[in-house]
Amino acid sequence: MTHVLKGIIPVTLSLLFAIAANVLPIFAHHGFQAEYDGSKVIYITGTLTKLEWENPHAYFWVEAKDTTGRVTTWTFEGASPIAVKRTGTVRTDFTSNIGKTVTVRAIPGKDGTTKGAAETIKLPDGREVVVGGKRFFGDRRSGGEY
Amino acid sequence: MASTEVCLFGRRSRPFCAQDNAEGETRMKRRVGTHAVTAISIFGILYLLSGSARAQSGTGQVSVAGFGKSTVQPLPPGGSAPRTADGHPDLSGVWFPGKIGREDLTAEGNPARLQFDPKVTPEEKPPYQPWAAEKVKKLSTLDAEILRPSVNCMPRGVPGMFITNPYPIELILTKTEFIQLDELNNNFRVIPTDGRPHSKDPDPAFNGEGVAHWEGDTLVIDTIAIDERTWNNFAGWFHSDQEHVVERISRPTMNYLTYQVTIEDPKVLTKPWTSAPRTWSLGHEALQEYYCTNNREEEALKALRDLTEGPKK
Repeated sequence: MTHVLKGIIPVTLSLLFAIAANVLPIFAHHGFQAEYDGSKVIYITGTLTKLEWENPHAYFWVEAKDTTGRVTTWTFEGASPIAVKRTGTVRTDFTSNIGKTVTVRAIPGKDGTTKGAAETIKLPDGREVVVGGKRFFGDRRSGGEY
Repeated sequence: MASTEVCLFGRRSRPFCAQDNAEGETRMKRRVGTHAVTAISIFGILYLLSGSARAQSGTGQVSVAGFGKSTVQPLPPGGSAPRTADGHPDLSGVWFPGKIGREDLTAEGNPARLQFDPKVTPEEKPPYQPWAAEKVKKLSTLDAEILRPSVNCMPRGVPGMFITNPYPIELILTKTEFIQLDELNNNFRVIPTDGRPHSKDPDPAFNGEGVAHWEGDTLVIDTIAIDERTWNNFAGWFHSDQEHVVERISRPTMNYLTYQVTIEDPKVLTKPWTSAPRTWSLGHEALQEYYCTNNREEEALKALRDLTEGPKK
């Protein structure tokens, strides 16, 4: 199967990622503990492909190779755009870096799919900017909700 | 792939829960029809996706920006509060919860960002009647999270629009009204400040029926008839139709607003509960737009459509 896929991916890459983005369950306003595992943190390095800068939460997508070299699409959820913006990270930090390599620090989903609640994104210029509240080990107190 | 609880809180028109995901895949596969290569590709990518998360989970590859190391400082007092033409402290302004006069996600954990520091001014737990305490105790942490009205995009109501609201508000004080604009869901309330009594039997509303009067330099808002679907905290503090909320708002200095609320609820509490003094601080930016959105309405509409037209094939 791997051999077959290696031949197919270059031809159908855009379609595949469109499908991947649609079949992944992505959610907006929800219980953090219901969906994410705050006891783990992941770092994903890959190509920033898309941004949705919209309420209630910003989303962005990163194509990254896993440990076997296969390219997968990760869906990352941030805080609300206005909270992110007030923290100093603006929409153009994403849009000016589409197609470029970034590293995202995030909390993984509990369901094992390629998604995460993002805390920061390291941009090509070296800045590591905040895109969500602190989620790793915490956020279990009341009040941490956006 | 998606669990029941997360299905409930999807927001998008695209597939968002297990059943809809299956439909989405079906539609997608129909579009590609008999194209065997693409069908294999779909399987392939799903296979890759399912494995990649496990493959990449781990710890530490890059340094992390400074959560908890934020250098935010409380605003200075800023001098005397301005006053209105009739001598009351002018509560008008854009106000942020906490003491820093703005939002900063890196300041999570910094006491300056909190409405109050529980180490300095601890708050009493809600004095529940035994039956109410039992009801709340039965909620797991996860229950409290996924059942809380705010997660379901319900209005936070009164006093939630102050005490469970992490977004800024704008207050406007006119000669006759206190107006509160909430960035959170573009909500608002308008309270007469002429000291009038409550109406005889007000209809329930998320923000209840509020009337206000001045006690010295403090505006006192008295609210009843609050919709029973609101919670007073994120941990399951429900209330009855007899809830009575008294909010006290003052502006001790230019940059600070002090808010304190007392909640009476003879059906749920054994005695009135009074919050710690909560602090909001003056911002210098306009409110923006924040909406919580929820696909539950979408599910309800789909059910209605199915009821009248039958499930779409």
